[in-house]
Amino acid sequence: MRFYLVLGILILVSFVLQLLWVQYLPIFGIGPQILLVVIIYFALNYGPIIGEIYGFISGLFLDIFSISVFGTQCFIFTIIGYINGMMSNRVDEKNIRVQCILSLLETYFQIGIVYLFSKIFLSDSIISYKDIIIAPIYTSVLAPGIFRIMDLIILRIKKWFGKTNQI
Amino acid sequence: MKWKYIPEHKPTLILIILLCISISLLAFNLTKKIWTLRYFVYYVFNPVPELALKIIDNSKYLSENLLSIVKLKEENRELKERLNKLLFMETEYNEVITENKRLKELLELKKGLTYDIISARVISHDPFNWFRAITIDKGHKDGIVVDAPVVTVIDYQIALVGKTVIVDENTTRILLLTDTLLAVPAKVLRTGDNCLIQGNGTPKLILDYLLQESVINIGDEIVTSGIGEIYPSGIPIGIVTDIKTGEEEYFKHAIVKPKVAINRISEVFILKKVK
Repeated sequence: MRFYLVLGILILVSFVLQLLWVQYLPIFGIGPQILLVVIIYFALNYGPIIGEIYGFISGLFLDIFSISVFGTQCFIFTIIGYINGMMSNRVDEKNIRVQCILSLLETYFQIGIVYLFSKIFLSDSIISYKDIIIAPIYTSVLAPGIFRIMDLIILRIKKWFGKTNQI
Repeated sequence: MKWKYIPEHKPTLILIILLCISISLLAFNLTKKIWTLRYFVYYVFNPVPELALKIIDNSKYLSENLLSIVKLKEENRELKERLNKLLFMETEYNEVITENKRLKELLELKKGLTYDIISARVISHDPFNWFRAITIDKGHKDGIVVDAPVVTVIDYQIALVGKTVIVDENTTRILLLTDTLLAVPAKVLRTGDNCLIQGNGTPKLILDYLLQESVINIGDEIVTSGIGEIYPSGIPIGIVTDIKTGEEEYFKHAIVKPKVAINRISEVFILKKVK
């Protein structure tokens, strides 16, 4: 239970980090999708159930603070969590190329769905060409670093709890 | 059979449930409600009118209680703005009253004089000596001539400032009372004794050529005597602040504080003789 709580806190921290990153370290006003990479990390490491549940919760957070149609990020992150969870035993999550490619493709997937839903529900596109070019590349470049940091954090948490076998 | 099937496809089942919830959220069209709520949260932290306007525009998505908070805050801000405006207007009103009094005073002076009055604004002081000269924004084009007396109104009283010395087309340089080059024929108002007022490059003036037998006291008012061609009689110059006797055989000296404070002159009036 404590582990799930920690995962929740990590989601919250990465959400805040994403908001701060856009504010302080943007490239042409665009920030990376840190939350998306964290969901990919959890899904690849802990399977589809954790992936999709945490995807749903973090999507809900993002929906509240993003300008997209409410429910879009929930929908996207749930699918991403599920797909990555299903791939958890099929791909090497430690491989940097895998981390980069998955992040790149899934950012494009996210942008595509947001574009589609905004066209359907808002009859207007909220996606700019900057989103299409910068966001996926920025995210995939940062992905290995985020994976590494998450590894270190999880390792430290395991040591703190001293219940490695339970995690 | 059924129970065995569900655990096997548990992730897929959860996915379907979560996707259904997501699609419901999309279908309920909560976007505007969430946006309005978000604007409200932003407004709480940063109450700017633009956000208030957005909230009021989408008032149907927000509860009446939350809306009343925004409305009250906006009303309060508007009232404060109006109060500031009124305070500013009050200051302006006081300024107009002061100016009105000053102009009335000047009108009174004009009645008793055979002079035309030209008003002008001070545009600069002499950069090397604050007590030497000032420049005004009127010149030859406005009818100003050389050697015309210049006065101002300070605290509802007329006071001598100096005289015009260099007149250009649009500006005029005025030699101040306090400059060493200016000497004004004057008299002690109380006794009528004639004397001469000279500047010495400081904020004080020197009263000279007052006979030893003349009685002069500290606090006596000094006005122009009207001797000579330039200054009309009776224009206040200053107040005696110190008397020096015994230094010379025939004359007394005194220190006079000018009525006009050099650093407070912003508007002057040039007296032009009517031919």
